[in-house]
Amino acid sequence: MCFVNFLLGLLTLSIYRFWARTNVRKHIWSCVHINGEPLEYTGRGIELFKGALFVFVVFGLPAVLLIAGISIAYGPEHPAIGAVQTLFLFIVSLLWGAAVFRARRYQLSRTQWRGIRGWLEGSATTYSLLYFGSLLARGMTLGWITPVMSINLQEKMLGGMRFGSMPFRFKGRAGPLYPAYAISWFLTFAVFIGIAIALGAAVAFLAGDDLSAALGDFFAEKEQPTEEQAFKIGVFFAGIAGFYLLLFLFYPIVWSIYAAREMAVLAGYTSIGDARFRLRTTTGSMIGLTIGNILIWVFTLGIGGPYVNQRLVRYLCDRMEIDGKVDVDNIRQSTAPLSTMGEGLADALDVGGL
Amino acid sequence: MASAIYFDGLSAAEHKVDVVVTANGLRLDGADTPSQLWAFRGLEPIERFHPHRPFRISHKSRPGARVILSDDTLITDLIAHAPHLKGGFHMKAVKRIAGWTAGSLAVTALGAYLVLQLAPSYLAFILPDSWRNRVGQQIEMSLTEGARQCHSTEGDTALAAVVARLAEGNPDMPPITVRVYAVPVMNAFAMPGDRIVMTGELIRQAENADQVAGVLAHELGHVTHRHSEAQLVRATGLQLLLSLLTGGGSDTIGSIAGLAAILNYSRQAEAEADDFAVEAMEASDVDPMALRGFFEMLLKQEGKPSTGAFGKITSALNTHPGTEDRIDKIHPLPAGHAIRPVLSTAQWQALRNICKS
Repeated sequence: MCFVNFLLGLLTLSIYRFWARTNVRKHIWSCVHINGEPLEYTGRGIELFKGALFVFVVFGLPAVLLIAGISIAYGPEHPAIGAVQTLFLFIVSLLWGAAVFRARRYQLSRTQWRGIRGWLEGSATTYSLLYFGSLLARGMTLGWITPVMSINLQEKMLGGMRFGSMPFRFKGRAGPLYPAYAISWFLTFAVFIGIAIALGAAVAFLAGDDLSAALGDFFAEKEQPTEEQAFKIGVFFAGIAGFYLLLFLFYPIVWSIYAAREMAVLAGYTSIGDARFRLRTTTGSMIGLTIGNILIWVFTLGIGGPYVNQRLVRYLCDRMEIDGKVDVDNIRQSTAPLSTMGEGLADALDVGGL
Repeated sequence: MASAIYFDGLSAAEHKVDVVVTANGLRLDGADTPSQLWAFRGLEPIERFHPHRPFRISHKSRPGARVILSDDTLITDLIAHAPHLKGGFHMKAVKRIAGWTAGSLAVTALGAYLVLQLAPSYLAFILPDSWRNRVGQQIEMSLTEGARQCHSTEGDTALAAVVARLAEGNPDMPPITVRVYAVPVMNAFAMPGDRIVMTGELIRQAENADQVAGVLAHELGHVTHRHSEAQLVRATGLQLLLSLLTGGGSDTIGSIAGLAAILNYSRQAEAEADDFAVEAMEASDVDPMALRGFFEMLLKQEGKPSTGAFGKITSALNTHPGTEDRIDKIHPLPAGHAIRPVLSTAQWQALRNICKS
């Protein structure tokens, strides 16, 4: 399915992606069984397409036209373009939370179990502002406020979820998240410095002491570098590329520690009816999952992306338990209206997710 | 008759029902379920059918309601009456996918034609002059970055005389500005805002003033047809199309350096400029064979190693493909026209020396 989706995406110049995503979701949802009954994804590709088209017309098109207009009228390096781009970047980061929220709402409204569909109660605007605020706060505290903001955001997200007439509840403190956060944070720091020292030593060993002179000449675009200088410059840039590559590989692994803990704690804070969720995610298994996913992603050049998503869902479902009784028979159908458009903003901003 | 599980789409409660396939559809009966008939048309599979596995179906007229069948005989019987439930790989699905693919390709092709072919040639003529000037100026500055502009009193006069001569036969000619830069690569450019830039090397290698007039007439063709403005609109349109496809933004002319790339015209544009040049030369009694001679010189040099690149200016040898075909289209002045030289020998010498000050 991954490959067919990829092929049709090429043929239709990526427009098929909405139908591809729908097919992937249908498959992943149907693999999730709760008490013997599977989840069912009832969304349609055309809904995603319409949503994306709508957002493009009201949001993307004016931006592109404005920038194109300015670059034709005043040239492509006019400062006004930078100003417009900054403005749109600002608007995008303001809307990011709303995109996440509305995407979740759409997906829940298209998720059925025993004939009853889900919903996400609450205001996308409120969530969006909270999300934007949390971005700012995280920046200002070097990330240390992340667990608190995460709890706040999930209170809106998980606490707003409905299954038919039955609400999910979310309540808990951020405290238990901090030990894992601290480990990930300091490990990131250590890995960063470790990679820098290791690669720095390697570059220094290979390129020797004339490197700075060779680089100075290179950036000043003086004369043609000698073969030896060219080698040194090559080693230098290979070192920088290696740094980013290693960081790119290690970052998700290091943060798996926090991710595993966060998921388990957030699930533990969530309940529906008289039943409480329990998610047995562990650091080791999460790191294994992450490494496997990185390998799949790299070796299929991204085509295996849906498979990566499925692995994550399977991992979560295998470790998810619901303790307690839910009075299923008394859950009534959701009365929330079904929109005909889905997730346009999420597609435009490429917020990720399934 | 077989038993099945039924969800009514109103509550999450599970109901046991008896199901039977009748001539009109699937009949459902249960202790706490009102008797109902699900017509064959409108039945939809929730998941793909697999033998010996529970089969979930819904009906278009009953949103949310689900029946889960597990009796193999009944499922076989039902599929015999409603073969569309089996789904899978059948001609109808293939045709539909092919249809949608062809349709979206056709729409994209039409959009691409409108945005990249039709719109640029119209929009190029309604762009405000101030816009064209500004962008032209930026491209000229970027392209000739670091090069000296060539001036000499006699040389400027001679250049003006060439332009004036071409204007003689073309009263509708736009008011062009022509500048010569001391660049060691042979080339000439037409830019937005009725600008033409020539390299000193081109004048140096030209055999006579008529050849320079021919090149100028060719660039004048680009200016008159507003090819560079059209390219500008085209590049913007491409950006628009890409952002439509990817849903986000993308950059094609994100910098002036990228903008300079729009001066690479299509063959069709080159042919239009050639046709214009020949007509303009005829109308001004300039020998079109001079342009032909210039192209032949380019062709002869094609075998030689290229003169290389100066900054962003590459040699005309690299940027003008298909020279042979273009040469064949240039014919001598028709009968009734008497060739008059464009410049006197003294003027030609002055023009040749324009970069030598």
